[in-house]
Amino acid sequence: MGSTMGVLYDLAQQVTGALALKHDGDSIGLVLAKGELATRTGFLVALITPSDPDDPAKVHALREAARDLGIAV
Amino acid sequence: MKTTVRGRIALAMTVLMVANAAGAAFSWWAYAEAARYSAEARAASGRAALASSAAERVTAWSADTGTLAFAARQAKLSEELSGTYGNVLGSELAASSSLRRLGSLFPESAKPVSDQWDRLRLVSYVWVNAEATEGGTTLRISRMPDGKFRASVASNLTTPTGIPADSASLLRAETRKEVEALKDGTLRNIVVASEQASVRAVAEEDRARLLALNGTIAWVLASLALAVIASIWLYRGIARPLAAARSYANRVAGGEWSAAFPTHRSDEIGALTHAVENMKDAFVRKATIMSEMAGAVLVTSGQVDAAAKHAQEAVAASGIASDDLTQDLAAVSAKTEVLTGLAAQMLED
Repeated sequence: MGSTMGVLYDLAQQVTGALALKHDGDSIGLVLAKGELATRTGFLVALITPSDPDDPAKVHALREAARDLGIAV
Repeated sequence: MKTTVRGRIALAMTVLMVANAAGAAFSWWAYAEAARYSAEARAASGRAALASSAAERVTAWSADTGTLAFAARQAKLSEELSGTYGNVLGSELAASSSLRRLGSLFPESAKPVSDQWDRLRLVSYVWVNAEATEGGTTLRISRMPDGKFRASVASNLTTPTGIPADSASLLRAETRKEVEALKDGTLRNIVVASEQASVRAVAEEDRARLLALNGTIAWVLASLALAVIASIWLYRGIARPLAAARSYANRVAGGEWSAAFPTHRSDEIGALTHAVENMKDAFVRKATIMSEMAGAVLVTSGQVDAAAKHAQEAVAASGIASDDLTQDLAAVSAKTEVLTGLAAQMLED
């Protein structure tokens, strides 16, 4: 089975969208939350594009980090 | 109609230039017509003046011929007859010259005038010969081979057809009739016709000048109206979209990152707004990445600072005297605080 695309990106959009909702009106809090997400996953979520391959390790790391931050995905 | 900015400008300029050229051409034509009628009026006036002058010269010649006829009848001395004949010769030359010039300017009347003038002279000189015969004078007027009438001792002139007899009195009456026919008939008709033509030409000239003036004014007004319409069209097609693009660029520059240009036109202005929007999207992406990076730095530096402080406390609690380690941990803590402050400053900006 070949690598797929879009799952990682969609997950990243879902997580960042949920963070934005959680920290609505608190821009510093949102920045810190995104920073926390980046340090937990080990990559910058903003760099993920729709054409990025769905790396299972990254997907897993992102799910774990989101869960740690209280985001249900 | 979808056109490019260059197309709009070119079309507007072309329409204005064509309108101006058409207006100029119309004015030129109307003024040329006026000038043509003016020339016609002058020519007609000239013909009328020439016909009047010819009539006066025919009258003068007629008077001189009458004087010669009476002198011949009264058997005057040859010197006196010679002088009087000289006057006739001079006035005939002047009248002939005038009538020839009139014929050249008025070709349709050249032949009848010439024929009438020839017949008038023939009748008049036959009358002079008849008076000379009755007066016993030797003066006779004859036609030379070149067609000119000259004084002679014998005459080859014959009474024109239509004259009943070689009677001096009848010939005198016929002469008067012929003079009147030429002077008050033909020449007078030419004068009247020429004056009427002159009046008509002057009226046409006035009409053409008025047409030229009104036409020029109308074209100027039409050109102004076209210029206004072209300006509005250019404003709507260029200036207004440019103002909208500037407003959009200002909103983006003011930090309104979610702003989107409503519709992109298919011309150069559309290409510009599209490029501005692409630039804005690229900036937003870079800013998002930098923001996330700054957040990561903040979080990490906070964690490092906490770890350094914890290590300092642990070293102090352990009772191990290590000034170097304590100083290093304090330095790490100080540096992470500086890093945290710098990242916070960037985010607050």
